[in-house]
Amino acid sequence: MQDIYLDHPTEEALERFVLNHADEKELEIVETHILACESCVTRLEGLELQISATKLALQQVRNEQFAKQATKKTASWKTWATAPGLSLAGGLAVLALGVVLVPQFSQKQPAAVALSAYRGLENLTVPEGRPLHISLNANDLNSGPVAVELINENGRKLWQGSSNIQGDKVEVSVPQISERGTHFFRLYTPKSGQAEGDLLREFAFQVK
Amino acid sequence: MLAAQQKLSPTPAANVTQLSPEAEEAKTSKPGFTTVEWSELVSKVKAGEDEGMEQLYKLFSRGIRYYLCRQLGPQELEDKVHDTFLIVVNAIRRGDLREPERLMGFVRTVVRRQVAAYIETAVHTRREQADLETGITVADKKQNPEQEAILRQKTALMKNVLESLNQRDRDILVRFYLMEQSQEQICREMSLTETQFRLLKSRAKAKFGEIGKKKLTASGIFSVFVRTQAS
Repeated sequence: MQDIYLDHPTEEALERFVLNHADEKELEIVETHILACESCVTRLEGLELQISATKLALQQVRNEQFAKQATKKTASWKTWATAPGLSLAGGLAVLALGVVLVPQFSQKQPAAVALSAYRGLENLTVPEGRPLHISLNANDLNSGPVAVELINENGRKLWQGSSNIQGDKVEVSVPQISERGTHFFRLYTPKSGQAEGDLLREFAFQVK
Repeated sequence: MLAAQQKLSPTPAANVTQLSPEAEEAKTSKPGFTTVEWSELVSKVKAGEDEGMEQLYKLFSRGIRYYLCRQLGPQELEDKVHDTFLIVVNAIRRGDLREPERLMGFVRTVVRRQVAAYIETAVHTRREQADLETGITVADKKQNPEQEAILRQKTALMKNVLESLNQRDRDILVRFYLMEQSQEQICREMSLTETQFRLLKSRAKAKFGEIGKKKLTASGIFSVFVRTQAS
């Protein structure tokens, strides 16, 4: 019975004891042993010192590593903070702004146009070369889908699309018109099979 | 049973070979508890013989001191050791210890009860004095200047050792010593066998010893130490 307490614990068992990792059984054996074993108390004291030193050294090495990493990060910013670095960064920023902003300025904003009169009674002018957002008067028309056509004064179809009558209006977005002169928007009922839709309304306007 | 008690030294287990040189020296130079005949010792104490008391004190005082200091700190340590010793002696005299060969376990039980009692008293006192606004008293964990110097030196040596290890090996030590992860967890998470883990630690210790020796040799202390040992 006493024998298990007489054997000197291994270095690992002592280390577990110092680090409080020993299980209940091992703790009992080591504790009972060290109470009566001077040499193992000496070993334990040495081990405690060694472990404390290891912990401190590990902490120091870690702290130094973190400090180095932090310095590196700062240094990488500092290398940019020189005159050539800043000039290059500024140049790149201007270029990036140019890439983002120039197309926006060059892109023309659509012109909003409201057409409310019938052919012959309207003389509205819309700008040439700009996309259009057209609002066509659909007063007295039943709600529902409609076909929309854009034709020039010679009767040539320039564009066609579809929309819906909502309230008293039909709204369509039309690409830019590049030729001047009189133009017409026509509203048709949607095509059913091969049959063409019925003409509902026509609006005239000038492109200048 | 007597034969077991008279066993002079424990059979050295294979792992006992891991003892450090200092421990080996301490083991061989001092006979320690392994030569004790427990029934004879208990009889002497029971009879109130000074020789028995002295032997008992010599045998257990260092261990009890270490244990109490580890559990309760260095405050009033000598008094606590003395109190514990008295409790053990009185219990033996009263005949509370029926099987002398269980003396070691008996002492452990007494010491643990003592620790529990001191902690309970401390908790009670703290609770009673909480309203007095005397402030919180904290045990002084500071080591003496000599111990601090030794620790500083050892830390510097260990730092050298750690810096010579690769990052992975260092991570293993960080997990074990700083993050207090268990060996099993580290082995599992870092795909290590137990042998690899042990090897790493022993390698670090060996390097530590090697660098320490070099430093001592360089400073001339080692040669003085060797001469002292030889004479």
